[in-house]
Amino acid sequence: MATSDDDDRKLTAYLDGELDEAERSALDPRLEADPTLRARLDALRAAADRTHAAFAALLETAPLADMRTRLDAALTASPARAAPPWRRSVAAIAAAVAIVAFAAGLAAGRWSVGSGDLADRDDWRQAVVEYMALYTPESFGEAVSPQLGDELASLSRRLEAPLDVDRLRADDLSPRRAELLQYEGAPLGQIGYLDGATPVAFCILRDGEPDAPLTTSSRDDFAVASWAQGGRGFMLIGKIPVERLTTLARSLKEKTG
Amino acid sequence: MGDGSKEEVRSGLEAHLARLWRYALSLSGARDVAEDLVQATCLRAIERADQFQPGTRLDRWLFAILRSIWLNESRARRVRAGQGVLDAGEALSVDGAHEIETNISAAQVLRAIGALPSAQRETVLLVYVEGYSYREAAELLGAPIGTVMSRLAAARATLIRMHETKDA
Repeated sequence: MATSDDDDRKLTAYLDGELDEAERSALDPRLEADPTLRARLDALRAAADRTHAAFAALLETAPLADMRTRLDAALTASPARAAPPWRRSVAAIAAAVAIVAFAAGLAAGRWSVGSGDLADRDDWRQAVVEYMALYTPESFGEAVSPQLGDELASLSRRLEAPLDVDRLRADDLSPRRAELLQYEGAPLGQIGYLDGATPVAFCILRDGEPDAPLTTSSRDDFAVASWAQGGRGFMLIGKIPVERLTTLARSLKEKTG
Repeated sequence: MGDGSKEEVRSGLEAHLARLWRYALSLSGARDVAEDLVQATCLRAIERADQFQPGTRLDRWLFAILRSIWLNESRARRVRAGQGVLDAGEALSVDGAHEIETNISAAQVLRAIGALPSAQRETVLLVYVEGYSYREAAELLGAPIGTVMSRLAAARATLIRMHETKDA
């Protein structure tokens, strides 16, 4: 190659109209005098032209119908006039993010070698960690949901586990909201608490997970307690000290087990 | 602000779906992930519609949202797995090219673009396809303008080499 990387940068900026006047005036006579440099300029120009055409073709393959349907559903679920209900939009994002995380995990799996069973069983917990990162104190911060009783009754049905405010009292914390998400087709219940101003979530997935004792760990700044019992996986998560989280988890495990 | 900006976002989203998807595909390298990423972007845009400044470009606002969701996602995944992000290059060539049989040369070029380092691929899309200026791209990418220029020059040089190899 007869031209340098620095020349490539200058020629590229020249083609893109991003060289200032002085630089352009310096380059013009060189182009005039140097056929190699001119040939390089032409080749660089053609490379970007081909790129443009290829990306235009890609646009034609976008799954527009699917995306329109999903957009319509999202717009309907969140009416423009009413003050947008925080809880619902967060839940919707959480679900969407969980799905993205899951799909990306699948895609990554195609190129990774020998990911163990342990990792598979833990995937839903990682998805929870990821969407928990989107929560703010406001996410759980408003008053206790007025429909909490109904929400818990619905969770009880889907998870086939008796859940009520009393059973879900963790140490000195009371549940504030409950909602149903799903992971890989399995019902995922989430009960929200506030420890001071910090969101804490108790999640239950009915996925036939084999029994496992309570363990705690920290992931991405979160303290996480995990266990499984009676075909359900449990998880308590929050940015609070591990000791505090363990106390809360023990109390929940005893009453919901 | 308020109802005006909300309405502009809600009614404007649909027109940008295909381009958002193309950006998402360039970042993620997988069609199913791209579609979910677009949906997550729409949800967040609807939720934060009152933060959109009327009179500014809605597509640019949406691109920034999409990018930030993707970054958070891939960062979390890297931390978890201790492995690199998925090879978007491979995926773009496999997933992106197979439906473009009618356009053989576009498929070949896409394969070449898919093989570029992801930062170069993203910069190429933003500047050469989406019409970002160097300064606008630098702002979105959080990188100096010189880096934008270097990525574009390197990408063009690589594409020339691949083109020559193919012809040889």
